[in-house]
Amino acid sequence: MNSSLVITHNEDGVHLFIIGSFISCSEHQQRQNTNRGGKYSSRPPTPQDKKQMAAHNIYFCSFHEKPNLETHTITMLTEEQNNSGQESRRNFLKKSTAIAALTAASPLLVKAAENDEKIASYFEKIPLLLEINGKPYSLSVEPRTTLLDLLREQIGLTGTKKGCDHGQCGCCTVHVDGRRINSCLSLAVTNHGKKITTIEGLANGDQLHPMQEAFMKHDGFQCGYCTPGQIMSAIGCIREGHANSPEDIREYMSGNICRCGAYPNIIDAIVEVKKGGKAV
Amino acid sequence: MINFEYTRASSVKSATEARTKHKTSQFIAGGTNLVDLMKKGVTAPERLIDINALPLKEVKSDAKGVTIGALVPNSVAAEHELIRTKHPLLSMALNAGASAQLRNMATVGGNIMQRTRCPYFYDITMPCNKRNPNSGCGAIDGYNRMHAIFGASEQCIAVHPSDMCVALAALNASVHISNNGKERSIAFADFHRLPGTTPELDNNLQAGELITAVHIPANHFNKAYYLKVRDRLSYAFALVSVAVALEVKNGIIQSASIAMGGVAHKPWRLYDVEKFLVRKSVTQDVFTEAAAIAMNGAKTYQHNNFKIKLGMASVVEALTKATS
Repeated sequence: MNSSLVITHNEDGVHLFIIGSFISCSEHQQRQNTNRGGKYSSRPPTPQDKKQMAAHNIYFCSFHEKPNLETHTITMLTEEQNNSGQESRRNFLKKSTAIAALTAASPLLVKAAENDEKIASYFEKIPLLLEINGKPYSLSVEPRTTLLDLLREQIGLTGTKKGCDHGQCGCCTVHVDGRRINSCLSLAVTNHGKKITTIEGLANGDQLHPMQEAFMKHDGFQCGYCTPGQIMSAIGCIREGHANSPEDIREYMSGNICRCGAYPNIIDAIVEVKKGGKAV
Repeated sequence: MINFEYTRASSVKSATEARTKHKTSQFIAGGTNLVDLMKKGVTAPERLIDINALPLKEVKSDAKGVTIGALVPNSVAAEHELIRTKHPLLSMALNAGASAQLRNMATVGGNIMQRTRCPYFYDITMPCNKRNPNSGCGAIDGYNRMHAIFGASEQCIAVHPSDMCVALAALNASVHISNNGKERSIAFADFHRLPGTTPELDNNLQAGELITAVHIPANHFNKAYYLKVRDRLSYAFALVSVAVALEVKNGIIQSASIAMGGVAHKPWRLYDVEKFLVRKSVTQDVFTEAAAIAMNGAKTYQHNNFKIKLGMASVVEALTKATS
């Protein structure tokens, strides 16, 4: 069974999620660790473990052990968090790694907790918080996952297209914190805490975004494959103040290739939205 | 893409320490070049150190000049009031590079660190001394239309792809570097290397060193132009580019700083042209003579002969545009 450890922290505490069953999770870690020359055993926390927890300055810890559930959540509040509501990444990692160590009872992990550089060695997936089209997501991703693949394969938002996958065609254009980028060249993990908007996030219910309306009105596409990227980019073009003339638009839309050659109609659509003066 | 370990650095010091400790690690910021190279299998770092959270995102100005943080996106730098007013040459060069999306992602530090776009470097089935030392150069007897005409070696004829760096070279910028709490600065002209017998080294950065900022000294240039000639009007790498910065008084050139892109393994300063132009008047004849001097020492290969004529025409055009 596929299982993994995910650690997140937010204002109300540190969370260790064990995706998959408790035992499977340990087996998974065991496999990983065996590959690295270490050994694992799994058992519930002992009084000795609890002593270690205290040594790692963990103020409160609640375990919800239901072995048959898909997901176990262990919620911790540290003393520091109780006092300040904030904590450094280093401390957070030390403590969260300590909990992982307690759960899996590995002296190797306790040692790793001393050094946040080591953390990634022990967890295949990285916790990632994103807001996508207004909805918060708490995710677990492989470091090599691009934002594009995350959106399409993991979230199921397939409106964003994969064209060249090398930043040359613009099909994959999305907005990150309001700015247009190529999601194929952005590692998902480097967008931690950011707000992502995809083509699916533009319409307000049944009310299309003005740029979507304009693309339809001016026939700004033929096959339609590049269209989500064109529309996301067109909005960026207007927001950045570079849609003042057809020449300007051509230059600042050059990162979006349309193999069908719908460029004149795309430009007409952008000109109309710009002239319309509506906020995009 | 081969998977890797990933950490987020919280300070410049911890980033450089991590980089020093893990020899096969690399920094990642915008990732526009590195992610592409990792997808192609050109490079496969075992660990990426994410530096996006570091406080290197400011553009500052004082009497000595303008300092741009290494993590300032190319688009932000290009549009920044201080850059547009004090160093329009840099704004022009930045806007000539890549696409709007990529400029939103790519950082100033990353732009300096970007690797060549030589197709033999990118194609891992081909020999390339830069990617795989001592495997040979596919370009030297291959399709070398985009390649160097200055400063190349038998081992490598690749060119540096950046537009921004060409402008920074002309503006006598310096690169600020940090390593485990120690700071140093390298003049832009000395930052990138010529290929020589070690084409695998693009620049003189030492292991563990992190670019923290670029400094552009205050200057008296009152005329500037960045000309980029490419296969299509936008969103393509330069065949040839010319960054011109001049101080002109009453039609007489007081000082000149000129660099070319697309012609060498690093931004190529035209020092002889700069000397020639001082105290000359702004005329087409002077510019034509300057263009001939610019091509002294050029060496072409089978498919890039055209760069001599194109280079000369581009120097004249850039000087003309700068002064008109």
